[in-house]
Amino acid sequence: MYLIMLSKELMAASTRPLLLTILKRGESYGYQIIQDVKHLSGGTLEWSDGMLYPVLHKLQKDGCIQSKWVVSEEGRKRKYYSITETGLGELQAAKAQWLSIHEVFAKIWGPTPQWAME
Amino acid sequence: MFDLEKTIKEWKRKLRKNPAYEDGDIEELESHLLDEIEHLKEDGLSNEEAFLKAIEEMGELESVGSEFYKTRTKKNRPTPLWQHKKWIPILLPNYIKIGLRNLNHDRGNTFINIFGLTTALICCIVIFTYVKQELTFDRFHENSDQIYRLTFQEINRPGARHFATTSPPMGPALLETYPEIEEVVRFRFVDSNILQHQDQQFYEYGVAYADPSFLKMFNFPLEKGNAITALNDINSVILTSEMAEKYFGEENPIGKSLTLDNITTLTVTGVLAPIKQNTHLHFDFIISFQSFSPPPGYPVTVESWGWVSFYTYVRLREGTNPDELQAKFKDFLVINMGEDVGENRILHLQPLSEVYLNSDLRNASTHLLTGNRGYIWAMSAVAAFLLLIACFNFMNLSTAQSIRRGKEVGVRKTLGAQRSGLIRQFLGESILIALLSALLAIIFSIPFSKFVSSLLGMEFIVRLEDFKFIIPIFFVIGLGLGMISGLYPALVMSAFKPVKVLKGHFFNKKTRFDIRTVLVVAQFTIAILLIAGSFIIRQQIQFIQERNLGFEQDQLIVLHMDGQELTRRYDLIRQQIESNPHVISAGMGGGLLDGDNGSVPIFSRDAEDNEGYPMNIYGAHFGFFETMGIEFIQGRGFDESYSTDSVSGIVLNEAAAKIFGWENPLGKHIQVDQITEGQVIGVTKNFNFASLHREIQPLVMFIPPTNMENLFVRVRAGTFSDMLTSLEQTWEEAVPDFPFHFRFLDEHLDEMYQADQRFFKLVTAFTVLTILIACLGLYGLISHFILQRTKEIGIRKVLGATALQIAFLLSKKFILLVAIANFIAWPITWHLMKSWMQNFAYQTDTNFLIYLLSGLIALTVAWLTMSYKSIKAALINPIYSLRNE
Repeated sequence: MYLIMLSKELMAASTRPLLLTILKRGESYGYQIIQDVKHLSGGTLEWSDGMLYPVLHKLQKDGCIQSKWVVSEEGRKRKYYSITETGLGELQAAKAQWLSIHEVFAKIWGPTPQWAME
Repeated sequence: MFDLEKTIKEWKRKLRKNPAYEDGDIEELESHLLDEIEHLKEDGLSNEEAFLKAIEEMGELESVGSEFYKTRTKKNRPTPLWQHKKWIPILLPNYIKIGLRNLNHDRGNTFINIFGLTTALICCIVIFTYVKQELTFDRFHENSDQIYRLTFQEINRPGARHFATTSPPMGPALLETYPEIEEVVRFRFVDSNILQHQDQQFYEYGVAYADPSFLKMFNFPLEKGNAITALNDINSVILTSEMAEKYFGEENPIGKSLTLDNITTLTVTGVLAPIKQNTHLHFDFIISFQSFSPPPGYPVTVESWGWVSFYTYVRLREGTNPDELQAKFKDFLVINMGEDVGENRILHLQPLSEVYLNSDLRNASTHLLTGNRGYIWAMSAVAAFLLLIACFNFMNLSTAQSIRRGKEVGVRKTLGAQRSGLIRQFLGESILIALLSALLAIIFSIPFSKFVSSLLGMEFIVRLEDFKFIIPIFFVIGLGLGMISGLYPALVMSAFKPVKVLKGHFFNKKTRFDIRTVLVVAQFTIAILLIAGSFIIRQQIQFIQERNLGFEQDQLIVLHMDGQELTRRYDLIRQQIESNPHVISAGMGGGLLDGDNGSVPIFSRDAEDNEGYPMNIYGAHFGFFETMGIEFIQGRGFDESYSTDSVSGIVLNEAAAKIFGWENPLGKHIQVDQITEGQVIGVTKNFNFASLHREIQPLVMFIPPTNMENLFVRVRAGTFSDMLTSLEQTWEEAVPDFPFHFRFLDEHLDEMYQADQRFFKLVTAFTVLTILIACLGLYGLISHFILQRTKEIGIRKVLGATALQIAFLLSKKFILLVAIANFIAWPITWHLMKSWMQNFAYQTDTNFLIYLLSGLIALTVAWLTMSYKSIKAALINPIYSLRNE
């Protein structure tokens, strides 16, 4: 697998739906989320770990996610995030947008363009 | 040994310094860091390695912090407040914030400062435009630096004159003689003409004759017509666009005809484009020079070398040295006018740019516009005064304000501020205010200049195109003002000792010398100077207007009739006019006694030498002296009953008789150049026949062979409109084919002092502004003064002082300062006014009371300004002033 570095703009645009998707599966905390992202993207999405938190905070401020502090069994304090109704709404909208774009690109960049089949 | 816990603590401390991170953030990041380290250690890294790796993964703290900050602010700010841009000095945002906060907090002071500075700057802009306008007359002509006017100076004789004019053959002869001269234009102005197109008939005062090269030498483009040929033919005329509209309306005037004085038919060959630039050449019509012939009875032709009445302009070839050329003119005069003239006359080349401001030459201002260098200086001085006063306000108020700023200075110093930093801060604030004022002034200068122009009837409207000069100049002035007026307060405030200031001690009470005192004195010195100055100017102008001119100027109407008609039918017309019941008497005369006289050499066989003295001449006729009420010392005026009077009667004024030194001048022989000769029949008391700026000159009066065009009519006091209607009726019966044209002599004579009047108005206007600004400053100052002494006032009241006593106590010091200002202002005013008075041959006595009065006015105004504040302070219940902390 080769690495594709995403442009800054694309990163910024995709991070929000990505985080929402991860949180849709269940509540999680920062470190875990980053591990998930790394794992899922196979390294395509590379950002410094610190940069994740401001995005989470922004999402929370916008009402897409909520957070709570949880003390783990080993006594480690972790801030857990979970998705809200608003967040689900936004995710759905984002998903529709991304998919439609994906579809367009798939069509025109696909191996056998449809107009050639006729 | 690497201590992970300690390192993380260290790392957290570093994070806390960054204001972007809040407590929760840091803990969250810490938790992340710990997870990461744990994870890395599982991969077999040591504590230290894991920590470093985790930190690296975390990213650069500064930029991560910025992201945190961004999520928290509403505005989309690219960088957080504390991350200053490289080009903005550290603390600048803070300085601006504090500065604005201060301006807002102390609105009174801010208003006084900005209002004062803005007003002063607006005045400066207006005056600057005026001065620039006055200094740039006639600069718009192409090659204007190669254009010169010929002036003709007499030397080596008593009463020698310097003319702005020369004789008609001079120009063409010069052009022929010297290859350095490229072009010559002669101008001959005519007093007035009647111009007629179809049934439209007007008197015109702006008619001039000029050579064809006029349009080539000067940049007056034609809107219609051919500039090269327009003035070539006889009886062709070009007119300004206003005149074209007046006579022809919408029609195209080219090829149409205008009738001049009911006789000559002129053909319009050109219409000038509107003249927007400033030029001393002031005209409405230009007739081709060929069409010019001397008025009937003048003993001269256009070939007469002695007829010094023509403005002559020459354009030199590029690279010609005017001084070298002028040196050659002596030989030229000898060849053309004889040895005597060559020795006793100088022909000068006067640069075109200097023409407008040289009003001293004879004939310089009779038909051309002239300016006054002295008034330019005076206006510039007034502008400087105003700025100075506004600056002083600024300095005073800022220093006074420093009491409140003292705490700020103390805190800043305690926190490590350097003095230089504080100076920069305070200077920056004053520069900010100055620039703000400059900006406001520039914005308001256009409407203000329009207002002033209409108020004073003067043309100096600030135009948009002036801004390309004004903006950079006023930017620099604003910067400079801010620096100058801010420097002293900045130095004072930055020198505060934090320990003292924070305790509440500001100034060393023992220092008696206080620069504020000096500034207040300076302000009021200027104010008193201007008050006294405007009083004296007013008194002088009144004096001039009310002065006994040697004749009765009231109830005197001048009826004007162009051409030969009046002279030819004088007896009849006079009889008819005098038959009008409103008329007491009527008499014909030459000029309007406004100084526009001819001047010729006067000879006498009975004089000790028969060399000829240059004297003014004036044509008068039967009934003139009686109508004017001119008194005789000896002899009599012209009288119908003496048949010789109209041919050889000569009347001298006292000054002329004195020059000849005769004890009994009656019957003495007089020869008026080549015009006439005869015997003296009377000597009048000196009367003013020219502006009172000049002393009464010798005058020779006779019944001239030339035309006279003015009928002086003495009317009875009564209803003005009845009289005019009746007079017009009589006029129409007497001379039906001439328009009825009248003016009041006193009004006409007042026009000679228009420049003085305007000067007076301007000085008065600016005096009022000066006082206003000075008083505003005083008001601000006393407010601070009172603030400083609030407790003292309270205690005094508690101990039984009356409000009046307290008010007196508070304003005592300032009243004293204004009084001191008086003593400084008086001698300066006296000196300045003395030199201004040199403009006038007749000067009013300035009473010391005027000085006293202006001082008193300044005192009263100052006292009133302060009394509002101080009485208010004195009336406050001591409970409030004492409780207040």
